[in-house]
Amino acid sequence: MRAALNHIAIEVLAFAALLAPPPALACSLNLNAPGTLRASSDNTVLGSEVNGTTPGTMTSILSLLDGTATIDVAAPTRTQSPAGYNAAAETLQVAYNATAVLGLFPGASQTYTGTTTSFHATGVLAGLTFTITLNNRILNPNGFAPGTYTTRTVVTCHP
Amino acid sequence: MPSLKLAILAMAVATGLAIAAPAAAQSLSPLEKSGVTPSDKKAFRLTIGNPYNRRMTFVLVPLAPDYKTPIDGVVIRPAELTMAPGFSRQVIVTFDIDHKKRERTIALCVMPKALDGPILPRVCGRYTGRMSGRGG
Repeated sequence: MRAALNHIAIEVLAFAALLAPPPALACSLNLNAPGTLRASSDNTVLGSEVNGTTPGTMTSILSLLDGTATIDVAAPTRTQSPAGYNAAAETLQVAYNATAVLGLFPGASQTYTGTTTSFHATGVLAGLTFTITLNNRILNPNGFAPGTYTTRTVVTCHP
Repeated sequence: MPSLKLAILAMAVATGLAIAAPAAAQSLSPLEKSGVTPSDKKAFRLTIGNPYNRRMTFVLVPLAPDYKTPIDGVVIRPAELTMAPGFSRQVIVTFDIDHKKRERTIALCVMPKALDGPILPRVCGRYTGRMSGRGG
C-alpha cells in the first residue's frame, strides 16, 4: 500500500513538472573582448589576424527548453577613418567561429565574408552556452592613409 | 521510507532549479510572445538583464520584424535602464495596432548604450498583438 502511494506521489510530481510552464526562450550576449585591427606589412590589409591574432570574443547564453535562437552576424561597416583615406576599392569582411562551452551545440564556422550570415542554436532540455570568436578585416589595394580606423559588426540574437 | 521522501524532495528541488535557473543573467526574455487585446494597443512585460560584470546602461529600440527598420507607435517604459551586474529589471512595451490590419508584430532590440567598440551585441525579440473580436 505504501509503495503504491509512493509510486503515485512520484507520478503526480512528474506530471506537475510536465505541466509547469517551461521558461521562455531567452538569449544573452556578452562581449568579452572587442578585438584590434593591425596593418599588414604591404599596407593593403587591416585586420585582427594580421601580424598576430586579436579577435573579438563573445559569450552567448541561451535557455532553450523550447525553441531555436538565430545568431546573425552582419557584414562589418567602417565607422572611422582618417581624412585622406581612399575607400573606393575597399572590402570589409568578417569571419567567425562559434563553439560550445556548455550544452549540445555542433558549432558554427564562417570564413571571411562581406555579407550577413546566420547560424542556429538549438538546445535539448537544457541551456546552452557558447563562445563566438570574430575577426574583422578591411582589404584595400590602394592602401591605408595614416590614422585611426574602426569597424563595426552587429551581432544579433533573435528568435 | 525516508530515503524515498528524500529522493522526491531532491527531485522537486532539481525540477524547481531547472525551471528557475534560466531567469538569471538574461539580456532579454522572452524572445517571442503573442497575445490578444480588446483594444488597439497591446502591451508586454519583458525582462532585461545585465550579464556583464560591471554596471551597464542598455537602450531598447523598437524595430520592424526585419530587425533593421525603425518604427513608430511603440512606447517602452523605461527605454533606457542602468543595472548592476547580474541584475534584471522588467520593462513594459506597448504598441499600437492598426484597426484595419488587426494584428501587428514588432521587434524590440536591447543593446549596450556605451559599447563603442567594433562589435555591437544585440538581443532582439519579436512580439505580436492581435485585436480580439470580429474584423471589420
